[in-house]
Amino acid sequence: MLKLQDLEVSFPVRAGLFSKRRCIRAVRQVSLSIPRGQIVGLVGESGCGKSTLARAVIGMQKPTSGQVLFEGEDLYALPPAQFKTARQGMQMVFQDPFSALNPRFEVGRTIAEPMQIRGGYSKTEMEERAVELLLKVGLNESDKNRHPSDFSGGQRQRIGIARAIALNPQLLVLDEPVSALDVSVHAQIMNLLMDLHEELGLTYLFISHNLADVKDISHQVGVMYLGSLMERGQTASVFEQPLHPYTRSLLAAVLSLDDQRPPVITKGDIPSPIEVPLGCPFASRCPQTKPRCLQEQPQLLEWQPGHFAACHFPLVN
Amino acid sequence: MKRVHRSPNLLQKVWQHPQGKLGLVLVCLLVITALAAPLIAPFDPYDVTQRAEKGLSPSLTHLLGTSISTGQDIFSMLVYGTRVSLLVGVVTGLSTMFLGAFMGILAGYGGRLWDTLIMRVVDVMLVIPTLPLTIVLTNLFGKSYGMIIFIFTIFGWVGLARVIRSQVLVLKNSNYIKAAQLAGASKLYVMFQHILPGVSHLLIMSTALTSAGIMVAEAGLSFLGLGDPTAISWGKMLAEAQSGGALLFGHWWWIMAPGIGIFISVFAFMRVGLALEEVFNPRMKRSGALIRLFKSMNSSYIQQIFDDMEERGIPQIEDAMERGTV
Repeated sequence: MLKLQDLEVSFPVRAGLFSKRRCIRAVRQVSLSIPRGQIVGLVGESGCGKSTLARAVIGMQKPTSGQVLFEGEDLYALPPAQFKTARQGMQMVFQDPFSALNPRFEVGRTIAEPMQIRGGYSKTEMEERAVELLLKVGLNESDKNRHPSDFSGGQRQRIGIARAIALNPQLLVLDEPVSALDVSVHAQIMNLLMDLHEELGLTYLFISHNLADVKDISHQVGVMYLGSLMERGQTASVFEQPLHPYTRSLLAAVLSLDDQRPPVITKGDIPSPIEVPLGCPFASRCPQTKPRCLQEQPQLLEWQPGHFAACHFPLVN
Repeated sequence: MKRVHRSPNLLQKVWQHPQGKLGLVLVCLLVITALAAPLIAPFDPYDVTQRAEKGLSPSLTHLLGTSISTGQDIFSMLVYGTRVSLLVGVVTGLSTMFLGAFMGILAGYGGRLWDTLIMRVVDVMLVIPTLPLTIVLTNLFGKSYGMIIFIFTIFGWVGLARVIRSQVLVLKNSNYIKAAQLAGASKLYVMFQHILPGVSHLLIMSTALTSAGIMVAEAGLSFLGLGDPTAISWGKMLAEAQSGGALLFGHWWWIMAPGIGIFISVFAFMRVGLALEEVFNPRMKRSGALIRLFKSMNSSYIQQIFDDMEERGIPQIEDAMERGTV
């Protein structure tokens, strides 16, 4: 349903007035596909390019090269009118529930807005649908006349979700939908997202830095580091048998009560995305760097059935 | 059905604001005075036949006496002067608002080219001194209030456009606008449904404050003889009082009347404007914007002048006088 082919997004930066132009490669040659009805989770540290990837998928950030294929069509090659219709098939839920809603609009208007923009709905139809959506995301009918300032963060996120599903999209891009919420609300919203997925047969691209969330919700997982996809595969195999040393250190960083293994501590910092070193992006911090890692960038290869890793020396037992 | 609480509208909020209420009442009185001037004024100051003896003192027929130069009824002139003051102030306020809003939104949302173009024009406009140019232009194209309105609008939109642009830049990146774009919203839709309402409070506020400022400016220009020479305005009354020798004959009411008129109208519009500012931005509450303004003027600028004089100014002048250079 959604396919990313060698997607590359880079931004030109200029460090000083006279220094030569450099590029931040925010997303580097990412290929990924999301089958219909599945939830694909994308994890990675802050600044690894997850949100840029989401923006490219949703048609808000033109990629430098590569393609976004939605329903088999190259999104960025479509003429404007078709681009608009294609994009209505995917919607987004934003991280910050406070800036996601216009403070001047009543909730009912916010939810009905996508329908109003698309057109072809009567006023009563829009109102009925807005109420239906409100109930679906667990709010009350009377909430439609209230303003966003009357709601808590979790309730606002529910409103944002209601707006996102108003046009019956096929794909929902969830950019850290729960990371701004406190723990109890967090779980409620996760449950709501899972319920909606089952009920409406939606496809999700779920972006998060929280491994537990991704493990709970996704069928497949992709791990990003410095703009590159390091590993991807079925959730169970990635979490239980990580192939990439980076994934392993990420998983080891999660505190656990019954796990007595010593944590794998990665040394150093993430290199600057402006000067990504030649070779493997993780080589500077990897516990098992070998000369080859510094010279040649590993390709994303299928080491086990359906389980890909971009590493010269994956942890295959 | 549960009754949903409706938040009070803008006018009600300003009315509830203690100083805003005073401002609103005064603005209403001014508007009524301007509209009903022929009913309120006992004489028609424009009518040459309705002139009395020159230089009469206040009496029951002539509440504020008559002018020394022409014998017009000063109270009637005061009432009719409201028309010019209000008209110039409000029309300039509104036209500044429209031009400033248009330019600001175009710069903030119209793309890079418009942004650069408009902002460079703004930079140039900001450094042109208004008063000398006004004198030149009115002398070139004739003295009229249309000209004054035109000049103040041409120079007034600049500041507003900058403020609007920066607010548009903030709004443009908000997620609710992204969501609307994802649903397929056009630029025009976003502009009218999200951006314009998002800057409307700045527009309303600036209109009230600009109007107040323009009223003073108009009086100043009329006093300098740059207004319409046939119209009766407060500034022109002051000029006539000065040239007619009101001070010489002790006719203080002739000077006080237009002065109080100017004061009340500026005060009223400022009050409404500042009340609006507090309604829109509750953080400013209770600190008194006007008082803060004076405080900042006193503490920094004026104090500095006094310090300077104390430190070196006066001894220097004395020295110079001794040496005979002054």
